[in-house]
Amino acid sequence: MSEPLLAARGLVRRYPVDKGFWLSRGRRFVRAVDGVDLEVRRGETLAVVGESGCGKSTLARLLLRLERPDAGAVLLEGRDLAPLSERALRPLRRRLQIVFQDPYASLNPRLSVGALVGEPLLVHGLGDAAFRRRRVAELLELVGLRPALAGRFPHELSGGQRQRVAIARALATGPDLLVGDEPVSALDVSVQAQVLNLLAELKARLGLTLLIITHDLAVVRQVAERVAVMYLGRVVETAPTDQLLAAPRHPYTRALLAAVPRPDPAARGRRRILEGELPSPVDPPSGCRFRTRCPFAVAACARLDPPLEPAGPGRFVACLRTAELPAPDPPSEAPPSAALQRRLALLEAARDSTAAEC
Amino acid sequence: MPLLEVEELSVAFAGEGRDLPVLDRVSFALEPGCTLGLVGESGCGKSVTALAVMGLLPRPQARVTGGAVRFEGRDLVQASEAERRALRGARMAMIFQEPMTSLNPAFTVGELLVEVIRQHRPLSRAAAHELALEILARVRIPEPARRFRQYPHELSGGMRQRVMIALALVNRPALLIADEPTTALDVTIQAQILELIRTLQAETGTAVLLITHDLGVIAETAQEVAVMYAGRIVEEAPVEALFADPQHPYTIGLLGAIPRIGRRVERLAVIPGSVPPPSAWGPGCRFADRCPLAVARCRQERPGLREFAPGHRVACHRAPIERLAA
Repeated sequence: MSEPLLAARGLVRRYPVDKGFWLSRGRRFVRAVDGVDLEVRRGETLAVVGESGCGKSTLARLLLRLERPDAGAVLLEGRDLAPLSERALRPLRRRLQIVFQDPYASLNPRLSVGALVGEPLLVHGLGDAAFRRRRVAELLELVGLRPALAGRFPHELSGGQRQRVAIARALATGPDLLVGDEPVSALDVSVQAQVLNLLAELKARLGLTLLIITHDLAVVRQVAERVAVMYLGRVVETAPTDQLLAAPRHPYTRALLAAVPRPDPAARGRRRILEGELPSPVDPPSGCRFRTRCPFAVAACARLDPPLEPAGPGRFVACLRTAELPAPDPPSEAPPSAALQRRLALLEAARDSTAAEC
Repeated sequence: MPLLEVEELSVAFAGEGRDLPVLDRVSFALEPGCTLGLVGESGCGKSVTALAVMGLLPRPQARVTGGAVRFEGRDLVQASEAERRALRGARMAMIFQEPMTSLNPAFTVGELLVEVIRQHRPLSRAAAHELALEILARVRIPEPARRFRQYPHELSGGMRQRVMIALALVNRPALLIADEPTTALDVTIQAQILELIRTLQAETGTAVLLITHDLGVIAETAQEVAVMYAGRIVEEAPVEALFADPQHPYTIGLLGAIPRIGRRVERLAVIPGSVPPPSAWGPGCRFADRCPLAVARCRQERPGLREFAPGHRVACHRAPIERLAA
């Protein structure tokens, strides 16, 4: 297999919780990312999924070297970014870009759309003014916006348009890797679908590698080829998306999948509900971090911290009991009804016959 | 007789120079003990509907411009503020998306509960205290006696939402309005809270008006569903019928747009454009600009809700749309 585009090796990031006295010894830390190994392969879409506090956003920031890890390495084509200075990182930043959840918060309200999209080119000293103007128009078109929008300001745009601007901006420098940190979570369903489709199109067209950070397994299904599931600072399972969703192996993955409400009234009430809440990341449980909520936990789970181990082709699971657990039985959901599919096709056909625009 | 009957309810917000209508003749009914889901995207008017029913519209900006809200036979639009206040927290209660902003941070969980109990019931402090501990246990809060003494900020999001539910249900209301009750919560905690609402509802016979943007939550929880778009109800149906046999092009588009865990599609169905703001609302169907089947009539004439099957009503001039393909 070829070398991954980006890889994490034993990544750790801790944040102090109390300011504490400057002399105090026993300073306490939130271990946001606590020993993560992960590979992002060139050309794939990898989703990192988990609930709040699992460390997925911190992991994204570490992979982009927006933060420096306390331990471990971030390898971009084999070169470790962790020890690099800001100055040394700068040329590499062109290749790694990010889109955040809330485009309203991440776009400077005083800059026009054109200035926002052109800014990365300016920062990286790419091209002259004429080139930048052309490139901005090109980028806007690429994300499905009219180039005439270049003169508008963020507040004049809808949420979906703003997220398209954020994507155009991220693509300006021609990155290899685009990271989306909950890129559609703040959007309404109908707009969310537009942006998910756009990401898939862009990936195919530009040969991008995508890393999508999300809490939403349905989004994972729609965009990602591979998934890493995080719980309390650790990756607990990685697998190809189809396999993970059809047969989740780690008890947490099973619980997460079972908890998602399905748009199918017939599936109602068929799920098992995970008890309890996330333990404190300041003082995580000994051994396996999931054991306090795990329906399969045994005494050994409190003693041994399970590493990610191979569990079939392309799959890794961090659970002592992987081999002995009952076969996974994720809740099923009926496909969209025949009537719905027929009517969607009808609307689609009617739409194709009229002009499409965003 | 329905517990709650909203009839042709209209609400306007004071805008620059003129009133902006945000709800336009919204009607629905909720039977005792049932769950009605109000679903729609941001700005559709679902939360305004809830606030209007509760008599909690922000003043002076918002006001009811027409229609009635009949609760247990009484029109709340005509009722005095004192009458409405006597109902809130007693016969009807509401929970919100973000419990931290709706729980008074200056009081402990116990003080909040005792207060709402004693406001509506002639109980001694000790008896109210006992009842408060009992309800905390019923919303499955571990160590109720300890939680009783804690402040809202000392609790996790899930626990705060349980406290909100305890506050809402402690006086056994006939109606619970839940406005995006699980949207701010993680999915495993969401499952716990939805299950809790369902269990308590079965025990107490409280009717629930559930407001959400999430069709998964609707499928999981509601018996009846009303889909809102730009201040109007565009479709109303029993939950099974809505998912199996959606009629309004907006409902169809929305159901096609949700990514599904069970199945990946090449492209999600897309509703082009975005929801029009109230300032751009015309006289006709407000979905017309995004609807590929719209004709001149759709832009001129407001479509009324027509019954297609028992309990299944649709506000669309063009439905059933298969007819158009034939």
